[in-house]
Amino acid sequence: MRTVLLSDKVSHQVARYGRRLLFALLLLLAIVLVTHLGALIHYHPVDGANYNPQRYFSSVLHYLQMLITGTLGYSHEMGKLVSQVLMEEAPASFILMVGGLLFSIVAGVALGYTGSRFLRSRDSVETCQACDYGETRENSAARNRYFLLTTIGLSVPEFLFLAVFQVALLRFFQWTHWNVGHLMWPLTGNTVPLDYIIPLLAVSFYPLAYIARVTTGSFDRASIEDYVRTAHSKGLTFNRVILKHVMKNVAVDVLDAIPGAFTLLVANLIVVEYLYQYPGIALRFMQVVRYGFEAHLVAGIALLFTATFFALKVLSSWLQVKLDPRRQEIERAF
Amino acid sequence: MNYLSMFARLRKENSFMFYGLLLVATIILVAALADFLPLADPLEVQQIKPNPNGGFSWPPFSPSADFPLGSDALGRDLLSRVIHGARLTLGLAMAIAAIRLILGFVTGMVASFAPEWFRDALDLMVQTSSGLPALIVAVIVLVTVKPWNHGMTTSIVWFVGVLSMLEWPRIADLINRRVEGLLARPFVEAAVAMGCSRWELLFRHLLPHLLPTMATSFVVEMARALLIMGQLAIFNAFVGGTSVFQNYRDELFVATKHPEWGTMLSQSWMYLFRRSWVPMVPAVAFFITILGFNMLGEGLRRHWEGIK
Repeated sequence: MRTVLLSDKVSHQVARYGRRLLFALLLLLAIVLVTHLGALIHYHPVDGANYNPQRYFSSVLHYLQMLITGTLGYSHEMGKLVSQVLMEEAPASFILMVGGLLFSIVAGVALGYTGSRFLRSRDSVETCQACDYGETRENSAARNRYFLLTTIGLSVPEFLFLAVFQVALLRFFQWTHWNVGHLMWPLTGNTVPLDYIIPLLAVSFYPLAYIARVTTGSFDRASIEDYVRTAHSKGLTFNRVILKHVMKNVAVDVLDAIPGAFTLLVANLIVVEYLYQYPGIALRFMQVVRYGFEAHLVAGIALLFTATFFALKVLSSWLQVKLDPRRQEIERAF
Repeated sequence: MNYLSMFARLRKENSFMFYGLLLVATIILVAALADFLPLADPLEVQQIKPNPNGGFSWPPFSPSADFPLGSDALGRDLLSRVIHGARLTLGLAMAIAAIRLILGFVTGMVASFAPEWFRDALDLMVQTSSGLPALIVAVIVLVTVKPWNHGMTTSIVWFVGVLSMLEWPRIADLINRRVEGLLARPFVEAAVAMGCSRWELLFRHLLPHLLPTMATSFVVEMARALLIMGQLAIFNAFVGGTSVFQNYRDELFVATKHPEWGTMLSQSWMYLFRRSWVPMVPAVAFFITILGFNMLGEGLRRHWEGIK
């Protein structure tokens, strides 16, 4: 019996790692196929589009061979290896990605917790006179206002947020005639630490609203569970119940939402770096795509983003299993 | 039927749905009746305008009685262009959402009755598509092909085709999970026990329960499609071609012709600091419409959950 159980566990682990490997390979193939589309379609201003499948497939195969030998290719525009370009320009983007994600998680959880607590404080308890049974009635007006706030957060495009912020800042400085030298925020670039604040906020706006929604829903679901009612009835304070009992389950839901939030953040990052002229890898990506398409460099940057997503997904799955061992039994791709 | 009391009850019980519906209906109605509204011609170019105090001014004109929301770089009225442009923009978003929904629905339904490997393949597709942001793929494909240089029809086909191919696996997964939940219900077991065929089970018993999910998904996908269209416009990827214009100094230059929000946004971003209203008008139009659809989607979700 013990031998059967051990082999079940081993086959389960092999299946799970096999799925992860297959997922990684599929993702890699998808990136290579998409980023080499320039070899398939060549546009001529007079003749129009010209399709060349043979050139496309040979280009894809050549790049896959290069990947197997451990190189990401060469950028003729920049005169250096793609790996060198990534090592030089990616750290600036990683500051925004990691900072933005951490800010979204911390602020999103805080907003979600505060929102859930605020909403529960606005709910009323109605007691049945005959049976002395109390029932919580939700304050729908307060809930609507809260959800409207998160809906607005999810609806504001990052280009509008950035445009309004930059224009408001410019008008403010024009109106005040401030000239404080190096402390004055330039509206583009990243020369002083203050320059990171606006792009960080713009990048994390949408993921923050998303995580706040997930957190509020998770807190609401957890607060009606039996173990929470038992803890309250034993006399534990609200904060102690949250920190000791509820937070772990909420953390699992938040960890589940993080890869999705990261995808939103990367989409925002491309727009923010482009509009803000922030010198990161996403800006380089847009410049290469628009002004001189180099498949190797584009593929290398896309691979970097997806490798980060993949690492985040693996880390998120591992942490979820650590916090809630029941998650190990879920038989989906991850 | 007393419509006023019906709307009053809707406003009280589901304010998200009420205000979302109001916002979306207003936008669609105004766009549909754009030709009958007292607006300026969206294509009329005005290169020079006499000032009331003497002298002349050149576009972009600031907001005034003649141009309620200002004008763009060619002196075309922004209010008129944003209202007329709503047709094409909303039409594109609707087409993208509809194709995503159809593809997602068909694949999700097939996955529910198909062997395990099909569901695993669908799951892997969902995971793969979530690993690469849709914006990156759309930018690479559209900026490579440049369909806006091939004419309006080709531009629309490529735009709708690329954007609708991008996120349908997520909808397929949603439909698949919903159907799996429904298949465990007693009424399905009863239908199968009574000799119901697969097609009858699908269309007679399951489809009515899937319609709420599909309606909510359609509205949410409209909002997502509009968001990605706005983001693509920032990178000069837009629907509609360009035309050659001549200014008052007899200089030739290329600019966009058709009023469409993405087109307006992409061609006006350079005026952000000097003539802020020019890019702000289409950007705010995107925001208000996305907000309306998100509110409507949230209202629909609450409505169906309340019924459950």
